[in-house]
Amino acid sequence: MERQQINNLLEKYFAGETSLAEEKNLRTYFKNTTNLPPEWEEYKILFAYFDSEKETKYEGEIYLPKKRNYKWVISISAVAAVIITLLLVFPPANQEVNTPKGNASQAAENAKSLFMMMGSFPEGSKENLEYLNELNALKIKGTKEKDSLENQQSEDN
Amino acid sequence: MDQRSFLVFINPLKDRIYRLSLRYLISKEAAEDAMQEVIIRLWKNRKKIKNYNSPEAFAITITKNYCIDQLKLKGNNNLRIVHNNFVGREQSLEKQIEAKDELKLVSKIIKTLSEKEQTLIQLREVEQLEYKEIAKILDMKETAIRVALSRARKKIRKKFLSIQRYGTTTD
Repeated sequence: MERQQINNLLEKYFAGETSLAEEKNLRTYFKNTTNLPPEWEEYKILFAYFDSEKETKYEGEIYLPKKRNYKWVISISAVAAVIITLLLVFPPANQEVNTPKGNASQAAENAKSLFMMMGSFPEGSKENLEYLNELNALKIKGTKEKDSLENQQSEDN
Repeated sequence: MDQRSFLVFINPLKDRIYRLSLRYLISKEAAEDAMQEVIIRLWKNRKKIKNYNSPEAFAITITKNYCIDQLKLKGNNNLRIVHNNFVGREQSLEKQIEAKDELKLVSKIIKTLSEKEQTLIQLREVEQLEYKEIAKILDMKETAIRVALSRARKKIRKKFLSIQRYGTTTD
């Protein structure tokens, strides 16, 4: 392209009157022409800058806001609420968590042998019981006497 | 507009949105955040997008508005610091010329322009949009755009020349 033409285009360019096509011509001219007159070197840099800027790309990802399915969330939480309420109102029956599992007959045997070690288990215990009964009888008798004494005292007064 | 057609719509625009955000917000992190925010806003408006004459222009407008809001919001905080850094670096522009880092120099010169001029330069010189499209995005008349763009181009040339020839920034 003739220098005169470029000069005209530049004038139009700085007046804001060039079309996109004309601006493209200017770009290509300054990009591809070597041995530019020194006063035009600046335009080469200017258009090179615009070209380099256009090379900038967005490298990141594009994240779209996720569509929230509220119906789904609500139904799940409703089911959860129902389950929790049911658990609170009807707690599941204790499944013998605290009672150790064991053999009943084995336990009886163990107890028996334990008492054997303690000595005469059947006779002694029975004696003590009889003694206790006698004691109770005495106690009852005593309180009755006491009551009658008190009654007497109140009558005296 | 379902997710798939939304992605088809956004995919050719994402670089453009990112570049514009970068132009305003300078830092890559801020531009990436802006990008996500703009996409969320577009997604929320996806039912309306088809009603616009130019959905692309609508996307760019949202980007522009969001970034300018961010600049206003953070005007006294982070972004000001970034801007100060930039001013600090501008003082060593001579060194930049010595390093032949002229492309960065152009970038810095553009940064000194007004917000509107920067937008115009970005949309016309980098994105190479038609005046008609820019008019829609900025809600301006085409003639006003031509005048403002002419002024911005001349400003860049003037600053560039003064730095090239005298190694100083003058207004």
